Amino acid sequence: MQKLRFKSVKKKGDQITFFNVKDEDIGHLVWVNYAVSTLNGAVAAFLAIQYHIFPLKLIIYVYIVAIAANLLLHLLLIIKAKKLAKDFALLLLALVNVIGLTAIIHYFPEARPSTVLVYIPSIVFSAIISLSFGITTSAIVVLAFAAQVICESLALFPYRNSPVDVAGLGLYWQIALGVSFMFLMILSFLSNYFAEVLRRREEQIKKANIALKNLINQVNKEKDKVSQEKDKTEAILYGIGDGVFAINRKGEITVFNQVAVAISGFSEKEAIGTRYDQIIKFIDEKTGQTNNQFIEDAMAEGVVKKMSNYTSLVRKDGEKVPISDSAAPLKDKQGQVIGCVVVFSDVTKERAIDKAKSEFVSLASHQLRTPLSTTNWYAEMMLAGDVGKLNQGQKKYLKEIYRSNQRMINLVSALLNVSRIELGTLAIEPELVDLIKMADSVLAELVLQINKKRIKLTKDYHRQMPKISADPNLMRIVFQNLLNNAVKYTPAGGQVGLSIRKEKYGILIKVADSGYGIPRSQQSRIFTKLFRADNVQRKVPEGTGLGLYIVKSIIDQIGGQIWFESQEGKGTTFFVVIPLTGMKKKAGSKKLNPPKA
Amino acid sequence: MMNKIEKKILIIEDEESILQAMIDKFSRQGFEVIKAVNGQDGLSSALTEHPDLILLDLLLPIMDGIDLLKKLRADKWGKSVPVIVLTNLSEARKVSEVVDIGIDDFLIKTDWKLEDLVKKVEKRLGV
Repeated sequence: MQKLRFKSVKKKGDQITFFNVKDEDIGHLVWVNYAVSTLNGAVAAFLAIQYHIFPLKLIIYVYIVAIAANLLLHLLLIIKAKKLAKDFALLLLALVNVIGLTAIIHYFPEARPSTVLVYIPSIVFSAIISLSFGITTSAIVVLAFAAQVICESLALFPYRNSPVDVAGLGLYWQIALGVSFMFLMILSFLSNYFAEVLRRREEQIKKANIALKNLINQVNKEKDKVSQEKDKTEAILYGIGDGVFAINRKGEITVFNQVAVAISGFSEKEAIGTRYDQIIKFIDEKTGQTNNQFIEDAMAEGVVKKMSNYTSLVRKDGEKVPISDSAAPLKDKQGQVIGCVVVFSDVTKERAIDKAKSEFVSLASHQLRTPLSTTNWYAEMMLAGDVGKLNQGQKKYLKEIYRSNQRMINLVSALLNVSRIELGTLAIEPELVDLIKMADSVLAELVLQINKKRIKLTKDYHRQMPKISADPNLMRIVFQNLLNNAVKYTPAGGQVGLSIRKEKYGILIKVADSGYGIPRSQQSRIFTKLFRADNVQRKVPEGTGLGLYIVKSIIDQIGGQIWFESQEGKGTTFFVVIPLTGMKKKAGSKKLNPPKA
Repeated sequence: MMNKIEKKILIIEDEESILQAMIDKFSRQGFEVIKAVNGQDGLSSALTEHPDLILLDLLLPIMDGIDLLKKLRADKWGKSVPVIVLTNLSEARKVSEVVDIGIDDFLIKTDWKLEDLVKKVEKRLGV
């Protein structure tokens, strides 16, 4: 007894009840019906032949069709057609049976009783088939069959002597069976249909529930993750020694850390949600003008921007704090700028130390220059023979003194320049400068060394070179340092090339040499103060390590660019771009001293 | 060598060794050289001696070079006398201050050979 065929299904919390007919139940019914129909056909055929009843052909055809239909539909069930299709198939099956039997009765009224003769065994046979398949028919079906058998037997009893009549009566029962089948099928079809609808709906709800649960889980997980991230970020932000604030695309502050609070004097509460430029005022120390451009630039260009030197932050109480600062854009996954992080630190102490240091250097340099001038001039006069002719030995020694003194003068000049650049007291006083003329005059100063080392000098100048607005003093320092280096660091017989060309983006100055080159490992430090590459330190002991630092500082201050390509043992090429707009005037208290070659 | 005796220059410099170097060089070149070691003496020497050219240091005792220059330029004669500032101060503020008052040149001592300085003076005086 494995299954109930027609189950009354009552769902919890659900008032609707359905007959739930299972697929395999229908399948077994079909087997039964199939067997019955086959026997019916055989009986009908037998009777028709026995009693010469016509039209014989029609009967046989109808049964053949009925059986074929049964077979076909059964096959359909076996290959597991869709559920609704199966129900429909069974409906058709029953219909075909009914039509077939109706046809028999219609055409053979006299054959009716005799049909029953084989009908009873057919029912028994059906039951045996059902059981032999290990199938237990449901109570309804078993009862229906039993009732049918009993009723048929009773009804046929008066006609037990007339086989034809008995067979005919059997046909009526067959009709009844067919109708009941139809009814069952319709019931099953409908119940299956609604059960399916309900099931699907339930499934949908279940799926929706699961999806919702998953979603909630995921949201919770994400929430946890985000809050963990947030905790982490906050820990980092608060632990950091610099002031940090972040702004969104609208410029509203979204993050404002403790150090930012300490430096600015604004509380986190006051800052969050406020447009940053309403409370954060970075100003240029010299002009006192608001200088938030680097933040706007970082947002507009999507790259990290440092603020210009000598910037102060105006505190809430109006006090100015010198700071150093940078702004980095925040980007989403698509690379769109969605805000900006600004990091700044209080550099009051550093600034004071720097100032003291630079002022000391400046003062010391002035004081150093007096004895240097003395030595310089007396040595010069002695070498010129002003106080009598010197012998070879005296001349040689004095030349050494003179040269060393010159080196010291250059060093002091360079130190002074560095202190000026670092002190921010560098003045830029632009005037119209003929760069080619200037370059030539610097080369003229170097002509002795160029000739002495038999260096081949090549010049490539743009024909119609416009005069550009530049500080001649600064420009000269740039040329002097680059050309001096090229000559100094190129061995005898080498080559030095100077090219000055007007390009779309500015004036491009190229100084190329076939010299010692800069070792790859030291290239990143070449513009740092007091740095000299190992290879040239050995070959050329003179040098302050300040030249390129000064050049870079000047180029940075005038908004130009400088870079180089170098290969050790092959040579170096320096590239300088001076903006076509020229230098902008900058008030300053000090000028740079061009080093004397 | 001694053929430029007609030109008189005044050197105002407080640093003895530097002053002496210049006196020696310019004298050897045939200039008549007068000296002053502070601003006050320098101004009075200038106004009484009327040199053809003045070499002026800026950092001077008693009266500094800038004050001296101002007073000199206020004088009828001193208004037009050529003055070359020769100093080791190279602050732009100072440079522009003396340039505004009126000078002929501004030279950094360490950057100049004496020989070239003499040439510069000769050129300025047209000798």
